[in-house]
Formats: sequence, structure tokens, C-alpha cells
Amino acid sequence: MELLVLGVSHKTASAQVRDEVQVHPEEMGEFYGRLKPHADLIREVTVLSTCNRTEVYGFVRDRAEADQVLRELVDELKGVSHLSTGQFTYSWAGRETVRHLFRVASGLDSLMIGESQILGQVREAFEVADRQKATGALLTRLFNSAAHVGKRARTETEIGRGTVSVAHAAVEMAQKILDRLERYPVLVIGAGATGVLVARHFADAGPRVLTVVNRTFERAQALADELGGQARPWEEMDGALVEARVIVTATGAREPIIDARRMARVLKRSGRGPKVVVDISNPRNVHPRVGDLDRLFLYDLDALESIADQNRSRRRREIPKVEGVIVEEVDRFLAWYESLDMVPVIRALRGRFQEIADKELARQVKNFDSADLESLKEYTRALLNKLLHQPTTLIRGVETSSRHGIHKLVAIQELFELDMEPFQNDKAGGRGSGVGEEKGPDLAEKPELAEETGLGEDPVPDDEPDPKGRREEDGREEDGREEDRAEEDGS
Amino acid sequence: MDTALQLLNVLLPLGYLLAAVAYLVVFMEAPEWARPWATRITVWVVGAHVVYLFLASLTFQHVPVANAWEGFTFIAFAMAVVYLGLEWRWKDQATGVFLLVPVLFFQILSSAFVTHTREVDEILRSPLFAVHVTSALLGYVALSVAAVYGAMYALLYRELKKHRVGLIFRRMPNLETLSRLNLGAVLLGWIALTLAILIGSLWADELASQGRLEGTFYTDPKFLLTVVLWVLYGLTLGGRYLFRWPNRQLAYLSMVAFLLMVGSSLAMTLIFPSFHQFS
Repeated sequence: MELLVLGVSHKTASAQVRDEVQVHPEEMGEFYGRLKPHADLIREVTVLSTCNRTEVYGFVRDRAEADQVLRELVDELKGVSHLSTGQFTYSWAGRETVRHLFRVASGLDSLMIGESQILGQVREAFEVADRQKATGALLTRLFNSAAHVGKRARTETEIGRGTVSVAHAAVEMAQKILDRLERYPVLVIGAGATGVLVARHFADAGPRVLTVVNRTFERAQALADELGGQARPWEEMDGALVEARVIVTATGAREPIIDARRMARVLKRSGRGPKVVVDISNPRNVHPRVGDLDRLFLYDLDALESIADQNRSRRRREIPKVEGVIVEEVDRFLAWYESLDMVPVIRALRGRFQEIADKELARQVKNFDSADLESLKEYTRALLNKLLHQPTTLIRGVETSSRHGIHKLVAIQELFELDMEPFQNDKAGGRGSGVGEEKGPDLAEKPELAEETGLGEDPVPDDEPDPKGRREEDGREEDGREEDRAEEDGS
Repeated sequence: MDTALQLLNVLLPLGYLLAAVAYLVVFMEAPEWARPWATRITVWVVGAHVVYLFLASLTFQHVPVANAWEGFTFIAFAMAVVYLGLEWRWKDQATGVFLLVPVLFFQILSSAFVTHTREVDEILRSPLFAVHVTSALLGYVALSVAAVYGAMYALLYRELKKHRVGLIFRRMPNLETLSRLNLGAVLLGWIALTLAILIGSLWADELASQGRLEGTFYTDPKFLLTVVLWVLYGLTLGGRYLFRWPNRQLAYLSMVAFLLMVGSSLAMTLIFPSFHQFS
């Protein structure tokens, strides 16, 4: 049994290809339905599909076969051949699958490093798969861990701090100057497409009133209606400038429409509070000298881009910290995964019972002389063996490669509150699942393990693990530090 | 009672240390659940400080400001109270560490070297003196706090003008909040100074009429300095409210006035004799 992921992302494919393979929410049911005949091969599966990536995570019996089936299914569903040809795809197995999902959830694999939307999308993808009954104990744990990693990355590091989008940067600067945007009027000058994006961000912040001024009043009215604001004629611009605390300019004027002298007059008529001017037009609508005025903060496109750049750099500096969190959580997940083998479960179960017996014996020591105590110990040992014989036999019969088998082992761990950690480290009789990097010791070489677990006579499954997963050479080179220049969030 | 005082003398710096660390954690963007703890710890320590000052007043029969070391604990207390007041009013915790560190500094100085003066001038035992000195210290401390906020405002203003989004940008509250904290501290300081001057003048008049005060208080250098500062801050507030001076001007003026206050106080103490010496 192996974990695998295969997919297409912004790192390997163009936006057009990504659009063509994106599995939309309304198509999910059909996709999971088509997977049902392959349940014996693909035991658990989850599809993560956004505008920047479409990835299929699976817990499968045979990696090569499952990989082929999944590619064909996605291609059939979407009527393309991008996955089958392998031209734009990548795939990982074992540990690398876990690592990849954790990098995705923490935003390291996103177009804009550290963006937070992807974490919600990862959670949602799992919920959809779960509703379709396509998941089991393994992917549940994997996606829960991914959500945990995403949260840790954002709370323990600054990977998600500071906006990297120019439009957001304007709002962020205004929020650092004015205490609450909802208290103040916002003025948008110009109704062109460039201004709409920034204006929409300010409208989302819920200003007291949003006013749109444009040379063509009808266009101002249309934008105001869209943003839930009010329109004013071009001639009333000075009055609107006086009232507004945030001014966004985005007209197509070839010369500045606001110069320092005009703004100085406006400031004289305004209150004592600061004003924020965001000039996202090219060429500039606001003369740079306006920025020299007291209590006026001018941010043009260059300034906003420089702010976004500073934040991008800071996020990049946080990547090693996030990678550290990921390594830690990958190890934790793999340790849990290793514990799903029957050998560590049996050892932990025996350890748990032995612990109880030892405690009881310690309490009774004073009531017995040394000869009787030895007899009591012998009796306890025999009783434990008898009591544990049947559960041990049952556990040995668990098919650890099946979804139900894994559920059983998880249930036993929870029922007896087994502490698996001391037994995971030994990796006795490793699952050979392709997840872990190390293979457990051979029981023949460690007779004490065989005796302890009662498994000495039967060889432990000893499939060769896939040591590091494999990256197909059909995709473009992945590089988490790739320069991200997109202005809009979303993955 | 002496034992309780000694115990509190040790516990207070430890408490303020804990509070300063808590505010540092808040400054470093602590999780939401941890934030109220910084305020709670400070409130508890300030409560303990009230007990300490009350016990000291009872034990020594005067407000414990008879020497510099006693004065330092009073300054620490006043600064913590001013900060808590501003935090409560403007709901901002990000600046707590900047004020709790000086509080801790003054309290450590006091706790380490304090010797309580038992024999003091009879004037110091008057209840009016307690009100006078408390309001004067509160006033000076509030104006010092205003200077801290003024400096923070100036720093952030500069960063915003230069389009820099570094540590100062990320950690400090927004510019308007800093401006309000600055104004609030100046206002509180000015009101406290007004009270100190009024009570001091009335009380000094009464003492003079009883022949218990030598000379005239209005020629006393410390009194004159306080009045000058009071006028300066008053003008600043007038400019802010009547002539709509921008917030930045208030921030700079509060820093300049603070430097003037510290410099002239030192000069006056070293050069001129004053009747404001009682022990």
C-alpha cells in the first residue's frame, strides 16, 4: 500500500491547462463515482482542485497502476489528455506525498507564498471526499495533519504576514494610518477598470460612505451602484476631497489632476486627521509633491509595489522556518503511520497490560515473602499470556493493507489508550508501505521482538519501501522560492 | 507590618517583570487568549502596589516620597496606573512593553536601595500634601508617557512616509491610535498638574499665613518651572483643540516639553535652593 499524489499546478502548467483540468465542485460527485469500480486498487482518495492546482491524493494498492487509472479518469472527466500524456504533471509517492501536501497547506507551494486561501481549500477538498465516502483513516489523518501544519505555519512564523498584492497593500497602509476604515469616507476618482479592484477592497472594509467621482457621471453612478456607494459630479471633486480620508485615483488623465497646491487647500479645509491618497493610475493622477504635505500619505503604484515586494521578501525569509515545521510534522505523521502495523500495536498492547500488572505487583510486594512473590510473578505472567493470546491472534489476522484493517488498529490503539511512541521508534516489522524511509529490523535478527510479540514463527510482511518517493520527470522544475508576481490572492 | 512591606518590596519588581514579559509576548503577537493576561497581571501588581504604598504611609505616617528611592516606587506606580488608564480607554496593548519596562526599572531601583525616612518635616504628614504630591507625580509621569507615545508616533509617521513596512510598521498600533494615546497622556498630565498647582498654592498660602513656611512659594524655582511647563502644555492643548494643530505637532511638542521638563528639573535641583525639600 502506498500514498501517492499526482497533479498539475501553476508550477508545471499554464493557466489554460489548469483551467482545462480543474475539477469543479459540481463534477466532484461524478469523479468519485467513477472511482468506485477501482475501490480495490484505490482505497482512499481526495481531489484538491483550485484555479492554481488540481491534485489527486490516494492511498493505493499498486502505485503504478493507480497512477495510470487516476490520470485516465481525470482526463476522461475533463475531455483532455493532459494527465495521460504526462506533459504537465508531477507525481510523488510515500514521504514526499506527505511533504508535498504539508507544503501546499502551509502556502509554500502557492503562487503567492504564504497565501491563506489554500488552507481552507485543502480542508474543503477533504470534506467533499469524506462526504463521498472516498476517505478512510489514513487520508483523514493526513488531511487533519495538513490543516494543523497550515495553522502552525501561520501562527508560528510570519509566512502569511503582510500583503503581497498591490491592491491589498493600499488597504493595509490605510489601516495602519487610520484606526478604523469604517469610520471614514472613501473617495474614488475615476471609474476605469484599474481603479475598480482597489475600490472594491476599500468597499469591503466597509467605509462610512464611498463616493465615486468621474468625468462621465453615468459611469460614476454605475460603479457607485456596484460598490454600494454614491456618485458625485466631477465639479464637486474638491468638496469630496475635503470630506474623504482615503482617496483613490485611477483616471486616464495624461497630466496630474491633483497637485500640491490644490491638496494643500483641501487640507486646510479638512479636519486635523491624516489623509491617505492611493494613486494607481499610469501616468500618475497625483503629483509626487503632494506626498511632501504634512499629514498626507501618498502611495502610488511604485510605492505599493515596493511595499508588496518588502512583504514578499519577508515571506521568503520565513520559508526555512516553515520547512522546519513541515519536517517535524512529516516525521510525526510517519511515526503514526508506522504505528499502524500489527507488530508495534501488539507490543504496545502487551506493554500496557504488563504496566498494569507491574503496578499491582508493586502494591502487593509487602504481603508476600520472596518465594511467594516469585510464584505470583510467574502466575501473573501466565495470566497475561492467556488473556492476550486471543487479542494477539486477532491482531495478527488484521489485513493492514485494507481500509478496515487500519480502522481496527486505530480503534485498538484508542480503546486501550496505547502509547505507541516507544514502539514506533523501533519500527519493528515496518509496514513496507512506501511512506517511511527506513525498513524495520528483521525479526530473525531480533529474537527478543519475536518472543515479545508472539510473531516469531510468522514472517512479518517485508515489502520493500519506496525510500523517498519518486518525482516523475514530466513536469517543469519545482522551486518553492520561485519569484511570485501575481497581484491577486487565490490558489 | 514591616514584614509585609519587605515582602512586597521583593514581590513588586518580580510582578512588574512578569507584566513586562507578558506585554512583550503581546507585542510579539501572542495568541488571543494570552492577551487579557498581560492586563490582568498588571492590574494585580498595581493592586499590590497600592497595598504597599498604603502600608508604607501608615507605618511611616507620611506619603513615601521623602527621598529619591521612595519617589522611584511612586513613579513606577504612577506610570503603571497611567498606562492602564490609557489601555482601558483606547483598548491598545501593543505599547505596553514600552511603558512596563521603565516601570520595572524604577521599581527595581527603589526595591534595591529604598530606606524609608522615619523623621520628616511635619508638613509631609498632612493629607493635603498626599494629594498635592500624588497629583504632581502623576502629572509628570503622564507627560513622560506622552513623550514616549510622541516618539512612537514620530517613528511610525516616518516609516509610513517612506513606504517602509518593517518591524515598527508591523508591531505598532496605527498612527491615529498613537496620536490618541499621546493626546490622552498630555491631557491627563496637564489636568494632574493643574490640580497639583492649585492644591499646592492654596496649601502653601495657608502654611505661610500660619508662619510654617519661609519665603513666598511663587518665587520658588520648582513652582515656577511647574507653572512654565503647565503653560507650555496648556498652549499645546489649546493649539490642538482651538487651532486644529495637526497630531504630529502635538507629538513633537510633547517630546520637546518632556526634554525641557527633565533638563530644567535637573538644573533647578542642582543650582537653585527650593522649599520643595523636606527631609
